[in-house]
Amino acid sequence: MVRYLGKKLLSAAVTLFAVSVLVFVSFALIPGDPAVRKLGTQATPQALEQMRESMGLTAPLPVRYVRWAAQFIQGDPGISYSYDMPVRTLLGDKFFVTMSLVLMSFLLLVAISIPLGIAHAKREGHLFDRLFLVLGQITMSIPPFFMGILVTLLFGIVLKLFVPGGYVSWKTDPAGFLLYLFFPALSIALPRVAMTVKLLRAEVLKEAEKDYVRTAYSRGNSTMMVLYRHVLKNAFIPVLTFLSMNLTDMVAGSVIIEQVFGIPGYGRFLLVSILGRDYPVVEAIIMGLAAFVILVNLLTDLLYRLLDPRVGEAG
Amino acid sequence: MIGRFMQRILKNLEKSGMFRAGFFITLFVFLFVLAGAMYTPWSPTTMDEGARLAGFSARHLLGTDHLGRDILSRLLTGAGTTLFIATGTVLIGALCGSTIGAACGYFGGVLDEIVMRIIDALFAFPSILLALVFVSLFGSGRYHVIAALGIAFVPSFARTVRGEFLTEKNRDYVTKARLQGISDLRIMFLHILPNTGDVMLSSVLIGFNNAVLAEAGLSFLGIGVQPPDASLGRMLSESQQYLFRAPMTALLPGILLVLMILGFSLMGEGVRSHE
Amino acid sequence: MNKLPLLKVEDLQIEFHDHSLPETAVYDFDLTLMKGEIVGIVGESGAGKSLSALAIAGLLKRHSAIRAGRILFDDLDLSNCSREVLREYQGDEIAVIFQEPMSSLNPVKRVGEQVEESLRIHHREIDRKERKERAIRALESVGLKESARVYESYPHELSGGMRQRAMIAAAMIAEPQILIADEPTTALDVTVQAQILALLKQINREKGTTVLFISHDLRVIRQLCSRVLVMKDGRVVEEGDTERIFEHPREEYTRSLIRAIPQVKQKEPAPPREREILAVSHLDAGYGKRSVKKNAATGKILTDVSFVLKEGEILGLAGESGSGKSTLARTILGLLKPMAGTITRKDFRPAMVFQDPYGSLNPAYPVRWILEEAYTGGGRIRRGSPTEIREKIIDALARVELPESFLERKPAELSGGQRQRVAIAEALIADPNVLIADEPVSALDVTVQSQILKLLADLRDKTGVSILFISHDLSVIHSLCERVLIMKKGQIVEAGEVDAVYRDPEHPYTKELLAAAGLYHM
Repeated sequence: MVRYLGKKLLSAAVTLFAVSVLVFVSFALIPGDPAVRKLGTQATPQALEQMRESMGLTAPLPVRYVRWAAQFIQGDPGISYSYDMPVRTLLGDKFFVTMSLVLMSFLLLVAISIPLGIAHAKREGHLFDRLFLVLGQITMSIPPFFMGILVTLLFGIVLKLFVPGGYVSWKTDPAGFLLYLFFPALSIALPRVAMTVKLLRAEVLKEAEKDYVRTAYSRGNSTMMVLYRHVLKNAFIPVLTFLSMNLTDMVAGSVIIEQVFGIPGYGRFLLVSILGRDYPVVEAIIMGLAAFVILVNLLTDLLYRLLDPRVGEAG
Repeated sequence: MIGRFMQRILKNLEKSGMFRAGFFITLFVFLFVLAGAMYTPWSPTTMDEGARLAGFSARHLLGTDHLGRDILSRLLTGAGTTLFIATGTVLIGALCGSTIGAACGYFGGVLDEIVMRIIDALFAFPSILLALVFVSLFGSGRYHVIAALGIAFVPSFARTVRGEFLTEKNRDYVTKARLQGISDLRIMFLHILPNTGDVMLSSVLIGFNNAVLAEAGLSFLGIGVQPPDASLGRMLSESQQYLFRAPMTALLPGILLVLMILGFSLMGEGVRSHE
Repeated sequence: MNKLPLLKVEDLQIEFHDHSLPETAVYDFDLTLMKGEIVGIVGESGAGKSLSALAIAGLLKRHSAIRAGRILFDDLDLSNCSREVLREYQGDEIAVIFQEPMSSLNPVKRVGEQVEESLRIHHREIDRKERKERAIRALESVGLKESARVYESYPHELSGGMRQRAMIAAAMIAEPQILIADEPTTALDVTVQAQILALLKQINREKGTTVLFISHDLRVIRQLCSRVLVMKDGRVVEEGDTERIFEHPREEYTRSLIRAIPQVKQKEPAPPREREILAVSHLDAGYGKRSVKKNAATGKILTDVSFVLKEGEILGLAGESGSGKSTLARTILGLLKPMAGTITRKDFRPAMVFQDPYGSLNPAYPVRWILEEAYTGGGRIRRGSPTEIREKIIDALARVELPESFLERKPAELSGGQRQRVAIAEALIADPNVLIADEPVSALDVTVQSQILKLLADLRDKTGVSILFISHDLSVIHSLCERVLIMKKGQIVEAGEVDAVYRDPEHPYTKELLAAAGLYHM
């Protein structure tokens, strides 16, 4: 287990390193001079040169990378071009809002899809099953932002359960904040619930065809005992990977949902920074997300290993 | 190759009800787009000043948006834009991705190690985010979006195809072909590739789906297709403010988008269900 | 022995409805099991033997169902009672072991948990601690050393033989009256096979458990069973005492099955063979340190292998799975670089035939394309006009006794035997002088097996091709080969004329292998 953990940690570190190099190099090579951006095209060559010097742009690329990475590790991703403020100050609060949203959607996803998936599989071939297959297929084809609009229409405008665009800050009213987040979280979760339910159902049915299930029956297990004691644990293994993939996708998806619901998370800020070519901010956000994705993958691997004793044996 | 692909589609049409349903939905969407390419009742950019946010009428069959533009006309061209970009994206992603994946899977070794490391690093980003980054590098607009999304889709194609080649190359028929002295290129494209048909078809369909989704997402965020080009994502984002007064301006492009995605996903489902 | 009927099956009919129309898979199956006897059911694949046995255990899968008949046990008709009642018997009175011990065990549960499961279900009065003790004792009684460690292991951590022993321990823990064994030794190596058979015999003797044993292998049935049912196409064609069936079979089908058993008869001496085509000396080979098989630190699989192959001879290479037979084949063919030693090839033009004819024929193409590709080396070699090529292809098919009508068929449309014929035609079409055949008949039914063996021998006589014949089956090797190499853990432990080796094995491992195959008495 320790060796496995070490290996996975190492591989995560290597990936993070590769990502950081990719990110740094691509932004360093973009045409366009940050100094010009800052001082305007009218600035004198001397002033520009001085600016470049002070921004550390004159050093060779590897040196700049090391400098940048060292700062990054210390938790200082640099100064925003547009705001002239430390990126950290700008982002801190926004990441918290986004993570709350993502976490809430994930909890919703797990809480709805797993019981539904099991119920679905138990009733294979029944009317319920067919109905849900069709309904699920449609639900998973709804893009998240359209789902957001549908949720706004139904819960905000028809049922008036919340005020569209009426975001409540967590500082002033934590309960109101969570209540407001519920609807965007639902919009993110619903299409994914449909996918997860379908996968879980398919996995349970696939496992049910396997030889060990016949063995379990041959010992006198009832259908329910076979399902809960034997099949589910096996069926969960691929679902786990799928859920973790969803968690990382949700972080990206929240960019759009924040826009729909007017939530001041990192997403909108990322957009503004991309359009305004504020690269230190873009780099910081991307690195933050990459770190999150890599962390989630690492945790998934470990959980996987706990669920499936076969993993990591071969080498 | 194309003939074989067509054969496969025919076989799937015959075998799977799901594929059939998806095929006809997609056919409808295609005909809709085709019609839009030839004729629109209004120009999609003409603003009918007197009729802003109008409902269904004989003058504007499906009403107008907040600037008084004809929604049917915008749907007809917008769907075309979305489909055009999705096609370009999948072409780039599938061609580059499959070539990379096939080479990595078949030859293995150091090349494979390095390329897969890079692919893994790219894979750490969800593709829409990757596309966002590329758009920030390339700038926005039709062709930039195609390039950005296309590159963003390379990793997933490369991975799938590599996996297929990795399993196929260890099958006995490939070992035997090698013993017969058949060249690597011929083995890769003539011997192995036809056996990955269903997987290719289903990943192209999934890719299409994701491309439609990503394009609409980018345009929704305002960094995809630029005005005055119409796009379904853009229509959705513009209609959002008027949700209360004119919900149809949001629902119609949304439903068209759902149909597009549903069609492809049902076909993909049908292909996979009898693998 | 008690001659009390324990279980009676009358007029059992089983239907199979995978497609729209139901098909009858088993007709009028009758069987009476006496207390304490071992009864065998034998037949080729698709004969309905497993289906009948599984029906008795109440384990038909969802596409099959009992149409008519009765299964009488303990004053009850098991074919016609509720799942709840049936469950009371499953695992407690009637236990089952299956062919694939790996897939038949739940991969994510510890072996111990699975062994004691029947106790947990049927004997709730036994507490957790005692259950564990009993499970460990059960594991011990099936010959598993370190049973406490096995109890804590997962299935993938055990070898095939150990897994099947654990399956038997799990089946026997509640001391059932009937043990149904569905091809329990088919997936195992011969020496392990012999141990499992001995274990079943011992259980039958000591506990008086009645055993219903299903197998396609007549030799195994003969070793174990006192009575046997021969099935074909869903019907029992002959039934009787094992000795009577083997000595005086009444039905033609039974006779053909017995004929298909490779006989170990004195062979005619092979003509002297002079020219060496291949000489391997002191060869070491393997997959290196990155290999998944990390049994050796160096990744070496073959150690110090030396032999020669002469023109026109059929050389057998025998050994159990994992002994390095296939690695040797790959190294000879140059697919794997030797780590040490030399391979001298003189005018060596090889072709290969694989075990699984399905995997070795490209499923995307028709037979004609496959043969043409092999003949022209993918267009690399100029072979004359299209008509000439076509004639050559038809000729190659004719050599393996297949008609021209097979040209446009794809592999999926052929039977296992036909596929292997196509594979042989493909191997021979480019006029090789060495054929390397890696377990070419072990995926086939016995009657098909003997046809393919005869074909190989005929082709050698006609074309003079040398054959390196790799097999785990010693009787097959005896019927075909002139000389034999016995391989164990990457080394050749014995080599010589087939007759001499079989009559007078020197190495203890050769003796063990021969004894397990019933060809030698220790």
